[in-house]
Amino acid sequence: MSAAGRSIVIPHLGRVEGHGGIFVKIVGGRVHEVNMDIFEGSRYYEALLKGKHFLEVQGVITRVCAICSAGHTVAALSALEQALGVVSSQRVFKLRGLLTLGATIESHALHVFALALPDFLGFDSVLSMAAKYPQEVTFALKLKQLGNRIQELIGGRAVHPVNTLVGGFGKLPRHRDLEEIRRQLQGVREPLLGVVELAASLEVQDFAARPTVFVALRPHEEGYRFRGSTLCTSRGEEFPIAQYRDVVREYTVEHSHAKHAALASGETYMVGALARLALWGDRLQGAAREAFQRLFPHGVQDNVLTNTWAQLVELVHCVERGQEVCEELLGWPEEEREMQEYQVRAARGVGALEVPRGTLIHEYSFDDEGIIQSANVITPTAQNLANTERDLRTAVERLLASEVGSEATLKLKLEMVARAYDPCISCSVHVTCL
Amino acid sequence: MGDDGVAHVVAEGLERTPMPEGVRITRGDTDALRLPSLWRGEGEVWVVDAVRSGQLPGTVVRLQHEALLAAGQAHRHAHALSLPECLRWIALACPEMAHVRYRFWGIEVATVAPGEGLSPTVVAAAARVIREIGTEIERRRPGRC
Repeated sequence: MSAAGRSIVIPHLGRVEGHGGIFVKIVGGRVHEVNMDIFEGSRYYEALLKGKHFLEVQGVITRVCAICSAGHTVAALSALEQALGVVSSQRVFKLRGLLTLGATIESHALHVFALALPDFLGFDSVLSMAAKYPQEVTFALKLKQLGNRIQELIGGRAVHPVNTLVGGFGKLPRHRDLEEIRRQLQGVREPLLGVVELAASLEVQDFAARPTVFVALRPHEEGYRFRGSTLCTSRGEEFPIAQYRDVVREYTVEHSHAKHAALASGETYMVGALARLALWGDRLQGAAREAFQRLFPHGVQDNVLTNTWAQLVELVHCVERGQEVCEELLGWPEEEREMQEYQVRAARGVGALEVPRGTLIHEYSFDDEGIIQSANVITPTAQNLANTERDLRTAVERLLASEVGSEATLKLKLEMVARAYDPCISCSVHVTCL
Repeated sequence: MGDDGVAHVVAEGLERTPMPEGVRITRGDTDALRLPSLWRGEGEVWVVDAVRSGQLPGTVVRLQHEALLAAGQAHRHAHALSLPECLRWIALACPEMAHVRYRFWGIEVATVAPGEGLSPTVVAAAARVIREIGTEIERRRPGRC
């Protein structure tokens, strides 16, 4: 090694042209610098919203990301309705919950099967994996499509929902469609449990493990849920989500276009499936509880590489909970639409929910004519970036100390760490590579 | 979007063109794995997308069915599934889509950073693709020799 040191550069982590990657600088045998940069466009959307009517928010903000459009929709509506003093009916609340479950199924299915499992099984892609695991690869796409179908039914289309409105829904799903969704959810349960067994047979390495603070919303009711109004940490702290600015400190770093985030104490933290299981895993029921015990026999450990297994547990939960919600919705009489009346007033509202990658926070303020004065969106990926860098640093130090092998192997393992967070980068650009 | 939004411009252009019965124009957004729900029941699917293949910006890449499905595994890792990879996965997992025949028009991009519309060379390429697809559809219109 030269006196000037050496660099490990992974120039692209995904469809993020020129902005996503990992950079490690090693000087004198010591890790000097570890940077991860993911371009994130949400700042533009926030600026774009200023001056628009609040009724336009949902249509604009879902465009932050195609994969996460349902999550942004529900978070935005929660914030706007909180500002307006709208209390959702039970049916509207459950329908939005089902929409969130569908989005989580779609997202987790893609990450677990297509993006992470190839790493664990030693393949370079999901298609390579198909040669040995054709059933799993076929099932993965079917599962993802079921998540799409749920979003299409509730949101009016599979991407960028149009049926979800401030105050309710333009059109409620028909009972026969809900019954079909319930039947399909029932149909994927057994194959999914088969994947849990496959995952349980695989070794998860711990080269990136280090003490981590987990953060997630407290579920709004007893049970494992994705919505709540209190932000909790694994250190036992609790904060009302309306005060998130006192808890979550966003800051800029020179090497990244995306903001980073830390707790007010300065500590980095992790949000996402692993954080949710660490805080609320004891609330899981049924097969999801069994999957949790099977994949985490010693409870949740401080190892981000197990986040994929946490997502697998949540997939089982979503499939079971989705059936329950369908049954609950089928208990109401079939109706065309459901909307709450409201009066426009000058107000500020904060909404949050747990989306596949972690806690998503939206905040809006508008004047007495409903014109947006300010908007703020904090995505899970932004919250995880600083923690990702710390995990990467730990991984580099350990891998170098253990003389892991070739630089290609080192890079692959670093990519695995970044991938384990399931960073949302696919929406940044849309280019077919040939 | 920057030039990566070129397919939307092509779609808008085609929507302004009178189409014969049985032809429809849909937008697939960014997730190619969602496309089967858009294509259900169709026998032939023509796809337009922004591409990056190392050629000059504005170059139009045309691929027939076999060439598109056989296109190399271009991702750097599993997080970047390309359109050909998605189509191969769909073919593997959805036997009901096996009969679908694809054609592909790819427009080489200049910039994909968020910006104000397309670069001039890509605008010109989009116009060429709109004309080309329109002519092809017209040629196939029932009743034409």
